[in-house]
Amino acid sequence: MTTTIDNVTCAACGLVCEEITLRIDKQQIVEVKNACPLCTARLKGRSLDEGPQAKVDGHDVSQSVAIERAAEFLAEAKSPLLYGLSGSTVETQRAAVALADHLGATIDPAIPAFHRDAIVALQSVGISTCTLGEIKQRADVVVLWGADPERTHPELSKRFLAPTGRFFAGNRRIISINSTFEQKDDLTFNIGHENVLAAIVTIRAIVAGIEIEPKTIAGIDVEKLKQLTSWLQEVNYSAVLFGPGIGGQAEIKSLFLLVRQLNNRSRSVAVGLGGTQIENVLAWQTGYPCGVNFALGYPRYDPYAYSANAVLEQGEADAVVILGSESLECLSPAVRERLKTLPSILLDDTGQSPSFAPTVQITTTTPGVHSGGTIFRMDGVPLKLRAICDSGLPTAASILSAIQQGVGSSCV
Amino acid sequence: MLTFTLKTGVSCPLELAGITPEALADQPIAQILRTEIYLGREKQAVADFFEISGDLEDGKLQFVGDLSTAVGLGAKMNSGKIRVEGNAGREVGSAMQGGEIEIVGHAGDGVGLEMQGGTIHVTGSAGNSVGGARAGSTRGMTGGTIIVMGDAGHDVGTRMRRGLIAIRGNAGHCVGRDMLAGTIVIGGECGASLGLGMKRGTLCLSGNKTMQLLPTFRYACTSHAPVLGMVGRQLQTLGYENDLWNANRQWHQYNGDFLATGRGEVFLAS
Repeated sequence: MTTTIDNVTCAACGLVCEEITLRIDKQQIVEVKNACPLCTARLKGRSLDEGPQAKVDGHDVSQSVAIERAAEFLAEAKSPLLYGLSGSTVETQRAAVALADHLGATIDPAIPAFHRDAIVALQSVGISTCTLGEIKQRADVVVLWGADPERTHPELSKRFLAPTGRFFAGNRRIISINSTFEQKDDLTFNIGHENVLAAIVTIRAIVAGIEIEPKTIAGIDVEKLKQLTSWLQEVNYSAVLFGPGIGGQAEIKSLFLLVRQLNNRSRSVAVGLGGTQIENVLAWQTGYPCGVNFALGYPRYDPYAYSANAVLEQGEADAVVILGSESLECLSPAVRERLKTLPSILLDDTGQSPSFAPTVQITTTTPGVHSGGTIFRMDGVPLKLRAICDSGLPTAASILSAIQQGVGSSCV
Repeated sequence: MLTFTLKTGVSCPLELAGITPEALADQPIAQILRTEIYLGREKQAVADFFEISGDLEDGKLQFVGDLSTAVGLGAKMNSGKIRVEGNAGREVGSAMQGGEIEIVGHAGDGVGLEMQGGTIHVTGSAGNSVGGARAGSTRGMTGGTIIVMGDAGHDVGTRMRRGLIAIRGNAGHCVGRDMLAGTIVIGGECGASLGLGMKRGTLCLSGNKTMQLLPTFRYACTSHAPVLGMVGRQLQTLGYENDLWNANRQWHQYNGDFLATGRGEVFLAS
């Protein structure tokens, strides 16, 4: 019998769309409607009745045996690392932080480099930001900077940029800087990666009324930058949506300062086009959003030295827990190679074999399909996910709690 | 001199903050060997890693071996001298207030992070954030001297408030970012975004004539820059051979960053 489920929430990207319709036949998702390619790839064909699956050293075992083995080598580890949490729920993040605290481990969420730099820049100079709904209803100029929304956030344009806002008249002007968004020539800027900072600094200088002597800055016509600046200044509400192409910490920090300057005249905001916010629980429980180390019994923070990439590159971890195979995308190829030499636990919802051979692999529920929970959209709006079936799979949170119990008091 | 000789390879982070000459002074060797230090999340005795010889009568402490995974060597030290024959991991001399650290090898990130006084001398290269600030912190180094004879990574002297940093080799991008005051001398090439957001302070690129500065820096004058002579002589006394003191040298002076106060100085070799 075929059933249809409406208004399903999707956690495939940072937009967390809520109007997906699923058609289910024989405990399998056979059709995904109102969905982008990312959502379709994530949900179509998924079985809803998968049953528990666990492996130790590649061999199928019972879940309890896998948990026991995981707890065993985590208890022996001197410097374990918990990494990942891509697309995870608040409940899973809470269990992961508890386990990291219990183990005296390093915990680091799988966030792309520009997201990490944005966090550090935010701590340094703050950010003027808003929700996507506010951009949709109020922003009369939107700048896409270093973004590829068609690939990373396919529904962004349809849901938030194309509709007319309630609080402004006329068309929204969309400016594309180093982005793949198709736009007229005069609204498109291509700035060499090494010149982005000089461009932002020049725009800031123009806004501040500081005279710029050269006619071109790093190959960009200053007159063109003045035109861009006037578009940003002469509106009531401008929004900058930035992606990984914007650059590093210096560029992002300068962008936040530019947005702050623009607020002297009219409202302006910056929003990062990242994934769902997976650092929130870590931030509210430890005070730090990423790169947190519990080795001395209290949280210590270093967004770069305690990042999973740095810890694994330096060979400082002797056991790794990876939460979600999507998280591996944020690791460098050399670090992914290194995973092959370490005892590791992979909690993943796809059930597929990763590029390395984890010591323990347990298949967990997919949030929003097999289990519910709360996730934070990329702009910080919390949204509920609901379970559309009972698959018999364990949640990642329950496995992490069971591992914590298994480790017991041996490492306190 | 009290010598700690590493007797085993260490792959996990070894926390050495607190092992300083003043902390160990007046302690018998047996007691020092029982001192607990963290290897990762586990407390272990100093004796598990090091053999100890000599005494601390002259206030000098020496580490021998590859301490690449050590964290916080010489952190918060006040007086005396620490010498390392080998590499010395992250955060060497972080928040140190006085004394001297000499690394005969390479150092990791955060050499002299937020240090307040004293001298650090690295014969090899150093990582990122030499004399810099921790993420979210408002002040980097507030005093003291750091000399790196090799290359340094990015963010040398970020939010530096006072003190002197000299890098004989090349440095990465964002040297002197958001610096409030102090002096940085770079002997080789340095990456982009020099002095981004600097309020005051002095950046000297003694071997660089073609550095492209940000558009918010302006040419001021070409001069002998007598102040660099004083810096050069001080560096000379600390073992950093240079010719900054040469009165025949001419320097192009730029001021910036005008997005901050515009009172920072950048000297490029003419």
